[in-house]
Formats: sequence, C-alpha cells, structure tokens
Amino acid sequence: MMKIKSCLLGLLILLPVATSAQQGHPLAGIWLGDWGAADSDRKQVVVELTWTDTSLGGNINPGYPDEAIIASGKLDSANGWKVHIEAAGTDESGKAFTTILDGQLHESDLGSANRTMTGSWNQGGVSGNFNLRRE
Amino acid sequence: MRLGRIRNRMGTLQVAAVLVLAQAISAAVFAQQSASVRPIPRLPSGEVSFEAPPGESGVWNRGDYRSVVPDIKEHAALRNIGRWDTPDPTGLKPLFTAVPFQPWAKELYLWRQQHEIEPYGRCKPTGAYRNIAVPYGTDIVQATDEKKIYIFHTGGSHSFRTIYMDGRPHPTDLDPSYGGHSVGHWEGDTLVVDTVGFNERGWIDAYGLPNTSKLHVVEKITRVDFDRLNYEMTVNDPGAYTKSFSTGMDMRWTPERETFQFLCQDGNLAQELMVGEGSSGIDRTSQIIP
Repeated sequence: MMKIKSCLLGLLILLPVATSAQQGHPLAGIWLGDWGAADSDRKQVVVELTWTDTSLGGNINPGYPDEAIIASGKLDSANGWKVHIEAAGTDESGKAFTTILDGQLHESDLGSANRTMTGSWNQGGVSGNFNLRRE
Repeated sequence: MRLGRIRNRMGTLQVAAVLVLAQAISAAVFAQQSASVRPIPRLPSGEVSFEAPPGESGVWNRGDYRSVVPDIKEHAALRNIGRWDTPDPTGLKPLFTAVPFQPWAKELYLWRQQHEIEPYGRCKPTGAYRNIAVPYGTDIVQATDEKKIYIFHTGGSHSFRTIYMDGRPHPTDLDPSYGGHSVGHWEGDTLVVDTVGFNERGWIDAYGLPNTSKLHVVEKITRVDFDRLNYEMTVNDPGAYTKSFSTGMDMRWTPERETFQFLCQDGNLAQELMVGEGSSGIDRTSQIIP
C-alpha cells in the first residue's frame, strides 16, 4: 500500500513541468506532504484542490481506500491566508470518517508555484499537524 | 441707478460671452493643430489599417502598463510608490476600489504590489492586457487573404498572437494557453477580439491582476487617428471577479521604428531584479517561480 502511494507521489513529483507556474487561485493544484500526531508517526498525503468560480473542491488521497471528498473549504485571504477544509470519506471497513484541516498558507512563499501550508489535521477524531507543499 | 446697474451687468455678460467664444475658437484651433493631419490609412479591402503605410515603418507603443489606478499609495506597486497618483489620461482605467475582485483575488493583487514577481519578467508569454502592454513596440499585421490578424511583440517572450477573422467559433476542446484563443470581427472601424482558453500561469496586467482559466476577454481596438489607437478591454472571470469590468489605454504610433530581435532569455537579469542583488529597498524575499 505504502509502495503504491510512494510510486504515485513519485509520479506527481514529475508533474511540475506541466503544473508549476500556477498563478490563479492560491489553493488550486496538487499538494503533497504528510500529517501525523507526532514527528515519528507521519502519513503521506496527496491533496488535490480545485477552485470553481466561488467554491473549493477536490479530494484527499484520491484513488486510495482512505480517500476523502472535500465537502467544503474556505480561504480567509484577508486574515493571514487561513485555510479551513472539511472532507468526508469511508474507510476500508466501511466506516464513515471526516477530515478537517485548519491551516495557513505561508505568505513568504505565496508567489511561488511550490507554496506551502501547515496547520492542524483531524481525521476520524485523531488529531495531528500537517505540512503540504504545492507541486 | 438701476438702469445703470443693468447696463453694467449686460456689459459684463458681453465680455464673458466674448471670452467664452474666444476660448472655444482657441480650443478648436488647438485641437486641429494637435490632431494628426494624416488620414487613417485603409487596406485595399477597405478595413482600417493598423500597419505602416507602404514604404514606411513604425510600431505601436503602449501608453502605459497599468490597467488599474490606485486609490491610495498602499494600492500601488513598490516600483511606482513615488508616483502612485499619476492620473489616468485616458479615463478608461478603473480605480482599485472599483474592481470587483473576489476576496482572494484582491488580497493576492495587493500582495503582489509588495513582491512583484511577474511571470513576464521571467520571459513567460503574456495574455490579456499584458499581451498588448509590452515595451519596444508591437506590430499588428493584417493578413486579409488568410483572414487572420497577428500581433507580434518585441519585448517579453518575443511571441505572437493569432486572431482568427474567418468567423470560426472558439474550439470546444481548447488547451489552455498564456494568450488564449482569439477570434475577431469588425464593428465599423473597431476591431473586436474575443479571447478565451487562458491558462493560470500569467497575470492579466503588469501589476498582478489575477485570473483563472474562466477568464474571458473582449478587446476593442480603434484607430482614432493616424497616430493613436484606443485600446479597451473587458474582463469577465467568474473565478476571480464578482462581475465583469473594463479598462483600457492609449497606444501611440512610433514612426521609423521596427520590431527587432529581442531575446528575453539572453542575459536576463530578472532573477537578480526580483529576488535581490541590487534592488532598491523592495522586498523581494519571495521565491522565484520556476
């Protein structure tokens, strides 16, 4: 499972030539990174965010058993580029779970195609933090 | 006594009328002198020509680069902070506060005023307003037999844009691009160009108006006399703005000039100019965009 995800991440890393210089909505794009409750316990994640007119969409870990579809999202650009994302999925046992991200885009690299965001991540009641970098 | 006052008043009115008349005559004479004496050239097809007359040379130069007028200093790019309140002679440009930004687009535009890492400076092709507002001169070539108009830039990425004049619609399966897909037609002597299919890798103008792939631009280009083009652009992008808005500029004919082989990539100093090394007090701490 991890091997497949690593391969996918590897493929996505090869994509920046096609996707790098995105200048549109700051959240739109493919974000790679990890989340976990501790430095020693990290899970790799792929977050695909889309911006359609006035709404944020996308998914987390698309195509994987822990995939979650983004139900709502908000970028508070006037107050430090704060990000709030809520997603819903169903795990392998068929149990529904929600994922909630509360983070912030980093102003220092906002103009970069490889901008970053960090914050807190809660998945199915388990809390941790996340680091994401746009590819 | 009363009669005298009325006579005085009549006298004052007569003097005022004479002054107004003199001013009007003077303005008319000045307008005649300042307006180009050469007629607007036309092609054999009858279309207004944007090209140099036969045997002559020349290029079109943008009046300025900005498409939005700052209301206050904080709305202006750092490079223009000393002359942020330069008036807009065309009256075509909206004030910053009149631009119907979505919240994220407004904050991103303001952020860019402080960081200025324009894709154009790194030789990226440009679309929309920045497609026309480029330095060193622009050729507008009318290939009437082909039913195409080409806009060739000297500066920037030294690229060109094709405007299809054969009545075709935009393709339904467009690959997004920097300049988008342009179709044009004439409304009287005004060239109207409709462009869609933009990617999200550029800025609308030199100062950072954001866009999404939903951007739809309508340009109206009118040769108002031999020396001047009136350029107007309407922006419609529901992904970045709450409604459409318009801007524009004046373009001037520069005779005896031609486009030349400008290579943006050759010895490009943009990296140093944008991220430090010799800049003058401008915060360029942001990473360069590849």
